[in-house]
Formats: sequence, structure tokens, C-alpha cells
Amino acid sequence: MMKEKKGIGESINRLFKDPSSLVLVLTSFAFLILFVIYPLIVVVFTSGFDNWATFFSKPRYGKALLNTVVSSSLSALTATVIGFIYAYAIHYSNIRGKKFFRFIAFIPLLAPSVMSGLAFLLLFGRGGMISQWLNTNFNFELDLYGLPGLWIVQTISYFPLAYMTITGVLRSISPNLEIAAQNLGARGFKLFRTITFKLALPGVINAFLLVAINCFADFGNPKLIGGNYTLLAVEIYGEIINNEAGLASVMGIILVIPALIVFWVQNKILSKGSYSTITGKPVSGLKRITTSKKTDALLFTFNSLISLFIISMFAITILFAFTRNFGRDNTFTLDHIMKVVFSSSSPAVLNSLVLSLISAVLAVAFALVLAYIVVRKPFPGKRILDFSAVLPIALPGTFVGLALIVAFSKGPIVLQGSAALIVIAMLLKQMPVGYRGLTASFKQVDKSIEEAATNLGANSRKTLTTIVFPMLQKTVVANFVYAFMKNMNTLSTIIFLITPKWVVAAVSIFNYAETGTYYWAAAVAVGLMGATLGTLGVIKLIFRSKVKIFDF
Amino acid sequence: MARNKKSSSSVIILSVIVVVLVAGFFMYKSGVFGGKEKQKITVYSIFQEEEARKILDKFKAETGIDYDILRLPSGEAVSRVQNEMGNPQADFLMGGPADSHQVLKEAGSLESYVSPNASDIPDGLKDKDGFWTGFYLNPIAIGVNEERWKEKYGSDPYPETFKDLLDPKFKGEIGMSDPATSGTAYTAVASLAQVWGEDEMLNYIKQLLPNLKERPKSGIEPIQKAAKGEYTIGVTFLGDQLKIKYQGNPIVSVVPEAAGFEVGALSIVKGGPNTEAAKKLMDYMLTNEPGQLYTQSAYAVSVKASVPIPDGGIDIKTTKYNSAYDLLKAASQRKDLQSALKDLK
Repeated sequence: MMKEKKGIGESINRLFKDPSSLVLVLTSFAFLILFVIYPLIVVVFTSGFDNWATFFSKPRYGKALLNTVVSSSLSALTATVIGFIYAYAIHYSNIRGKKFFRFIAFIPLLAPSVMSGLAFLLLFGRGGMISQWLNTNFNFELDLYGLPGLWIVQTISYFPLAYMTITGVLRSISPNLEIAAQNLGARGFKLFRTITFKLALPGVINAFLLVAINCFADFGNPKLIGGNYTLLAVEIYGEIINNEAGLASVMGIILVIPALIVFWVQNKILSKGSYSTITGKPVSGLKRITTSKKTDALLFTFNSLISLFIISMFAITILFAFTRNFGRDNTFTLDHIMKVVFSSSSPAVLNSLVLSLISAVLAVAFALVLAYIVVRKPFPGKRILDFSAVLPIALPGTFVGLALIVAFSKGPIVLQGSAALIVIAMLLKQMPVGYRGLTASFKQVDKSIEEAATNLGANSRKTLTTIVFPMLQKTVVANFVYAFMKNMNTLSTIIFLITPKWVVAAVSIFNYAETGTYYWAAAVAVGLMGATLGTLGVIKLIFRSKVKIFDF
Repeated sequence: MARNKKSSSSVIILSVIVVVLVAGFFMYKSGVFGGKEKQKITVYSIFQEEEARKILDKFKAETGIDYDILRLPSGEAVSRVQNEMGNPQADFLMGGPADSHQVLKEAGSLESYVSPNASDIPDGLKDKDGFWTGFYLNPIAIGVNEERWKEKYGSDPYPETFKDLLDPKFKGEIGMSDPATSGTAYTAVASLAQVWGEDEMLNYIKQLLPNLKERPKSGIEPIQKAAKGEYTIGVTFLGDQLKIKYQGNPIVSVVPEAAGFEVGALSIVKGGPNTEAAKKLMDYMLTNEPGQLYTQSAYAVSVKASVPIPDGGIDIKTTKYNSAYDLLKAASQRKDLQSALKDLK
């Protein structure tokens, strides 16, 4: 970056000379203050001293907090271990079917996390397929409600997240160091322990933290299979239902604290940098040291078991969606799909699709504007703007939903019951991801290129449209696809915001599963995945090779 | 440059698709398509969505009025309707205990409407000012798992009264929900307090505690678990027991003396988007067909004598239930009784 004149006066001056940028800056400020800062203040204000006293005087809340910490740590630990082994098998071994295994780890991203809870109920619930089979054949009663079930379900729901994070790290580890270590005599497990694992460690910790926050804020699965094992996010829901916004706010704030700590730790780890980024990309021609035949067999078995588990979860959902009442009446039927996916009185999937698309488009557009002004334009309060833009990424979805409903159901601005509030909630959760990516891309485009264009006579709009945006296109589309998929599957962020007119599919799945209407839950889940896949297909057709969607 | 052109055209195609989709969707939502002013009614359903949809689909076929529906637990429905008073989202509240509707009536959230079809509903089962109207009755019952009973108690007679449940032989064999969170369990204890007096009820629960295997949060859980054989007896609403019985579980139900009951009610939300349609729905709900549709799948009993007892159902009048149970009194005592119960142990 070139040295520029500094000082607040100077930057304000320059901003006023550039009215279009001024408008962008002011709009961004207004939006973030209204939808990030204002709800936060209202929540803190609503929590009130009395409610804090109540929270700390009643043991059940303390227990919920403890339960949340315990279950999230356990699930994050197993998800990370499984994610690591799975990724290690794909990147370090000679096993067959790597492409298949990658695909399997990708497909859970298509489904809302609560679908794992649903599939778990269908398989291992009291009346589940496997439980029933065990019961009739071995007279063995399976009861996994509570911590054991929750642990399994969260592990399976979030292992793909751990897998992806760790894959990124394993990919960037250069074989050089491993070969060098081998030449020095390190073999087998010692090589793994002293080199590979050490290099991957920051990524592994990062994966653990990411999964932990996600489990911490997870709402659907604990509500479905937690049983008497109550968690904070579920208690928040209960208090909102009982019209105790104050108590819910107290718990919301408590829910945020560990998330913020994790966010801070994560930034520390990332900014310290890992060894892997220093050594750079793999050098071509060098072949990675791979595992022994025995290890390969073990890894293959491991990955196959995990894949089998995931496939059976999807299979049981599909079976339930297309049969009358699977297990009791296996006749093929389209009834459920017609009733809850393609019916005018049940527009949940359509609602999800449209709201997710709108929100994803807006999120990416807003991220683009923010990244542009933050990287390129000098103005006072830039750090505040940057902070409030990335803040929602650290906030659990349950909290974002809570804050929006508390702030906009009463008071000067009432948005409750509108589709706008749902779109905004989705946007807030996804925009920071795009914003971070785009900021990085903007920084990569050297300012001198733009200046050169300006010198050659292009005005700032032309510079942007012909120089900057084409270079950002890949990031933009990738972020759009990511935001869209996440929006389709979000539950905890919008559970408080839906209305009869704006029911969304993830909430429908949750409601049907909770009340035991499993075939409808399964039908909506299938409809939702179909809609996601269809849209991604259309995007793929439009952008062809420019977007990597199905590249696993 | 050619690459740039291609990419900008693809962006244009995508934007056009998105705009058309979005515009079309919002036009659809506001009812532009589908011919002349298609009416829509918005329903909060406290009873199961499947049963509500069955009835609403019939209603739609008869009147042409389409519907949006959201199923909610009763507590959430009450707080939603109350919070939305400035800008009501729903027209109709379907099901849920009448005391919840009473709370809303007192908050001024309901529209008074006396349907001509409500004339044959007994007075205690509808609000005298027409703010809510009863739809079904469901008494508290003792559900026994026959198989487990035989294994443990052989040919002993089943418990007939609440006091029978105090027998020490039932230690750890009874499930009853927590009255602090479950409306079902609260109905049970509130009725006992009305018949026996508050102190004796508290004394009774205190003696009962050692026999209780657990106190789940939701009302239906004890009978689900008793059906699976996790314990022998579950105290829940009769309808839940019959439903589980007909799913193939070995359950026998007894409605004991002093058993309270739930009146499932219907009401119209004040100032909702389509109050006229809500009134039509109220009229329709109080005809025999929806009554039958509901009782036949939920095994509750209709408030109307003209709706037959469902096949396999039990006529509440043939049981010893507490017909004097005052649900409004129970509602007003709720906080006090619940906190007194919490202090037991």
C-alpha cells in the first residue's frame, strides 16, 4: 500500500469529494448499526439484573450450562478425531475409492444438521429400525436418548466440518519435511507423530474449536434427542416460548461468551501462522510418504464404516419419504412429497429456496460493498465497521435469532412476522464469511492496477467493472454458493422468526420430527435437498467450469 | 476480453432468473395467481399438524379457502398471539387447553364469536362471551402395561383410584410428568387440589414421589415409556393412552375418581388478516365431520353429543372423572400450586 495523507479530517474531506462512496459507507454503517449493534444492546438491556439473579439462583440453568459444555466438548473431540482420520486416509494412504469417500463427506452439507437427528431417530430411536431389530432378535432394549445419542448425532453432523478444515491443512503440508524426516530415520507412527501431526496441529485445533461452537449453539438435535439432558440453546427456546425474553437474553449472552473466546483463540492461532503455510505448496515430483499396507487396511475399514453410517442415514430418510409408513407399510407412495413439498398450503421448501436465494445474493452484494470500502476507501470508524461486520460469525445462530426477535418485535421498528427479518437473519450469519474472503481478494488486487486504469482514462466505475470485479468473480460465486447452501439448512438462527406464512423447510423437518410425523419430516428433508441440488445444478450450468461446486 | 463478456452475460442470466423467481414468488404469496381473490386463512395449531391438515383440507375443498398453518406447543402459541397483538399474524387458534385460550381472552387478544353451531355445546365447555369454544374432552387416566403387570403383579386387580397408586409395591413403577412443565400433569394435580383440598393433594404427591420412576417434561412421555415396558404405569390423558394402545401396545386405561380433564378449545384471533374466513372455519369446525375426524385419530371425545364416540374410544360419561373440575380456577392457581409442588421432597 502506498503512503497516503492521514488524519480524520483529511479522510472525511476525501470522502465528501466522492459522493457515491460516501453513500456506500453511510449505508453500511446504518445497516450494521441497525441489525448488529442495536439488537445486541437491546438484548443486554433486556437481560436485566433480576434475570441474572434468577439464572444463578436456579440449579437447572447451571446444569444446562454444564451439560452444554460437556456435550459440546465430547462431540467436538470425537468429530475432530474422526475428521482427522478420515482426511488422513484420503491424503496419506493408498486406499481405493478416495473419490467416493470425498463425496460421502460432502453430502451431509446438503442436509440440515437436524436431519442427522431425524435419521438417528428413525434408526436408533425407541421405535427405530435398528432398535426394533435388536429388540425382536436379541431382546435388547436400545435407549440412546440423552447424552449418548446427542454425542453420536453431533459427531456425525459436524464431522464433515472437521474433515474439511483438516483437509485444507493436510493439503498444504509439504512432503519435503516428511521426506527429510524419513531420511533422518523417522518411520511409521513416529514420522506421523513428530512431523505430520505436529504440522497439522493448528488446523486440528481450529477444527475442534469450530465444531465446538457449532455444537454449543446447536438447537435442533438436542431438542430432538436430548431427552432429559437439557442444554442451554434448548432452555433459551423454552424461555422464549414462556415469554421470558429477559431470561432468554441472559442465557443468550452466556451462550455468546465461549463463542467469543473461541473466536479470539482461533484468530490467535491463525495469525501466528502454521508451519504448513511457511513451507508452501507441495513441490511437484516429490511423492508423499504413504502409509503401510496394514495401516491402509485399517484406514479403509474406518472410512467405510463412517460412510456406511452416513449412507444409511440418507437411505432411511429417503425410504421414509417415499413409503406409506416405512417398517409398517412399505408401499411406495408420492403422497407425502405431494402433501408437504408440492402443496400450496405447505410452501416450506419453496419458502426456503426463495428466501435463501435472496439472502445469499444480498449477503454477497453487501460483503462486496463492505470489502471494497474497507480495503480501498479511507474513512473514520473503519475498525468499528470491520468489527461489526465480522462479529456475527462469532455469534451462535440461536443468539442471532434471539437478538433479532427481541429487538424487532417491540419498540420503534417492528419487523416481526415479515420475511425481511428471516432474510436479514440468514444474511447476518453468512455475510461475514464472504466479507473475509473478499477482503483478502481485494488486497490481492494491487491498487496500482486500478491506478494504471485510471491513468489510462477509465473512471472509477469502469475500473471496478472491468478490472476489479472480473478478478473477484470466482470468490463471489463461491461465496454465493456457500451462503445459499447454509441458508437452506439453517435452523437455530430462524426458529424464532418463522410465521405461518413463512415456515421454512428446516423448521418443518424439526417440527414434524419432534411430533413424531416422521414420514413428513423425511419428505421435507428430501424436498429440501432436491431443491438445493437443483439450484446448484442451474448455477453450474450457467457458470460451467468457472465454479467448483461438485468438486470434492 | 471475450472471457469478460461471457462472464458478464452469465451474471445477467443469473440475475434475470433470480429477479423473475423472486417477483413471481411474492406475487404468488400475495395471491395474484390462482384466479379471483383466492382467500387464505392462517392457523396456529396446537393439536397435531396431521389432524389439523386433515380437517383444513376438507374445509378447503368445501369453501375454497386455502390455509397456512404453524403447529406450536400451547405455551408458545399463547406467547406468540400475545406478542403479536400489535400486528396479528394468525386468524385462528386450533386446539390446546381452554385455560390457555382464557389467558388470551383476558389479555384482549381474542375476537368474540358465538357460532350458531355451538348451541348444543354444554355451558361449561364454552366461554359464555364466545371468546373460545370447546372442541373435545380428554380426561386424565391411569394407563397400565398389561404384560409388565402380569410379570410383576400376576392377577392382582389394576389400580382404580389415585390413592391405589400409593401402594409401596409400585416403587419405581409409575411415570408422571412434572406439573411445572406439563399441562397434562398440572391438570391431574389441580383437579386433586379441587376435590381434596390443596394440603391433601400436596401430601398425596409427597407420598407418591417414591413410587415415581421419573418426572418427564412433556405430558405424553410417561405412557410412551410405560408402553415400551420401562415401567408399569403412566399417568396421562386418556386419548394419548388409547392412541398408543391402537398402535399395538398392551395398555389398559382406567379413569380414576377425581380425574381432571382437558377441554380442547378453538378461538379466533382479534384483528387477524382474515377474520371472516376464521368465522367460517369456526362454524365448520363445530359441525360433525371435523369432530369425527379429530376424535377418530386422537381418541378424545367430542364436546357434542351428536358426534359419536370413536371406535375403541371410551365415553367420558361412563367414567368416574371429576365433572366438576373448574379449569378457570385451576388456571388462576397455576403459579401457586406449581411453586408449592417444587418445594416438595
